[in-house]
Amino acid sequence: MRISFSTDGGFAFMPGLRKPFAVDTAELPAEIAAELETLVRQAKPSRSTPAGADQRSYRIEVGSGSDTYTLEFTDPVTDPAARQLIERLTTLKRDT
Amino acid sequence: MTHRHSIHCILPPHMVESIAENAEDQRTRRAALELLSIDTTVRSERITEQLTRVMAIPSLTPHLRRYIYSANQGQNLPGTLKRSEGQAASGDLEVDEAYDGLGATFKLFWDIYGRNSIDNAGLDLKGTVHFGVKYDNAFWNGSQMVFGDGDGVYFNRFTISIDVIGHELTHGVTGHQANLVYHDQPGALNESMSDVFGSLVKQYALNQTADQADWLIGEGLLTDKVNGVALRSMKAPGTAYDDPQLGKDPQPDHMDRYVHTTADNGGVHINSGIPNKAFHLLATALGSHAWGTAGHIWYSTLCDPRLSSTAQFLDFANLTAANASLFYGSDETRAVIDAWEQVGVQVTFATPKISGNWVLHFSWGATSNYAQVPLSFNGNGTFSGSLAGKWHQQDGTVLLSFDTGPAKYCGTVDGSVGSGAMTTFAGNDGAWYLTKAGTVGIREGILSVAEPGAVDAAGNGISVPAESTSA
Repeated sequence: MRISFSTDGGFAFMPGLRKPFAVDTAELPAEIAAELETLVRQAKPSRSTPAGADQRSYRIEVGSGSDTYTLEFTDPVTDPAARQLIERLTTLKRDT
Repeated sequence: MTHRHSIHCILPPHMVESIAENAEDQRTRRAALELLSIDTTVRSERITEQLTRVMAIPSLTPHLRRYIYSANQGQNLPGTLKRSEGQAASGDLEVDEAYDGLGATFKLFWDIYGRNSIDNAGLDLKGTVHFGVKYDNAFWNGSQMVFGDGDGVYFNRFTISIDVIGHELTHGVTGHQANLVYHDQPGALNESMSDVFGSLVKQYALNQTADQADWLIGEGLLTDKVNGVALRSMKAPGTAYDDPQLGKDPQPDHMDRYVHTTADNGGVHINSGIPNKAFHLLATALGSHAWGTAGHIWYSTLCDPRLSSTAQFLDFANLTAANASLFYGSDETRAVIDAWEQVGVQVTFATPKISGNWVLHFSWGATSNYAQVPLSFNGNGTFSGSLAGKWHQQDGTVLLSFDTGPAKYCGTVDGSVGSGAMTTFAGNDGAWYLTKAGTVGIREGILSVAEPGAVDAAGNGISVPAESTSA
């Protein structure tokens, strides 16, 4: 599964943070790969037009075989799987 | 799922206006017009609401009621209540910083602008800390403030800087006033309002003058691993950081470098550098405390019912000049116009109020009867000098009347000159012009040219053939 993760907006909007992070789960340790693939399937998209300001939005493009689709989220992300997925990807991106 | 009109979600309102005017397809035009009529209705309701609220609920006593919650690393809001108004420090650093920061923000708005909390009606202040895991952000969700702990790698906790707390709370104030839509220029103005008043919260708390302030947003927020001093610099937009991981501060300081982008809602955190710099320039030009004259002009503009939710930089700039003219004088108005000009925004609307020493040139009827009188315009609507009377100015239109004669003057004034017609309602009509004392190219102190039947500036006949009088 190919996953491309990007964020946009937020009070601390900085160009370097916006760079998309791409990963192929085939290249990850099996345990992390399995966790990511499960979270991608469970996450409920929650993109909405925010009522406030400085909320960040997240975009996750998923490619599996010939199938591709996009998941979008906006702060606050309350769905547990979606929140975990974003936290995992943020950590992976930061540590790369 | 189908959208009734896709333009609802995607387009900024100024583009909708353009579609309403220009679209060839009738259905598209009708959709755009429908959308605009909703916007206009909402705006007129807001103006009515503001006016009635001001009249109905005078804010005589401030109502400060803070509630600080912890999301306990989750994202459900508001979370668990950790400290409410009047309680002693909790010992949780983020909780106590949020409590103190909200207090400092409330204090600036109340002490200086007489504003009773976010809605000017004593709304409770709610903030949530420990939001998410290593969360690198702070936001306003439409009803409360939210602060992350930071990742500890690039970012420290988001409550570390008092101006960040002021920034988020000001989003609430803006939401209750102009409600500037969150994209493109109105969105950048929305962001700039938060940076301006966020910085003023810090300056007021530290009792700093405009020269002493650092004009940074989020000073202390970046860890020492980052090559940067803060998130943004109002004094020098584009210089706050330049880091291999985070990139370079993209803020422009002039319209020539305005960033056209689809990122960040059309660059709301990027192009805010332009109005930020204009405010910094005004505050430093006026000197003393930035929350004083400069802050009042900005605040009165933010609360001005004429400021629409889709205002562009120029609309905002024009209103700051109009409010400087309304509440202050020509020097302050000039300083506002200069500040905007330095960032590439040419103010087009405001006419400064007449003040100080001017020369009135007048001529009754189609004669060679011409004379000058020096007049001094006072801020209270009177003028004095050779003749005394009252003046009234609305934008570029000016009216003069005299205490000692029947003459009425009506005309226009622009910059350092004015002109118009006058009448005594008794057969004598004439023309006049005004020049600001010392205006280059105008000879002052010219002797009057008198002839039989001469009339003075106030419209009184002069029985004796006028003697030469110098101005």
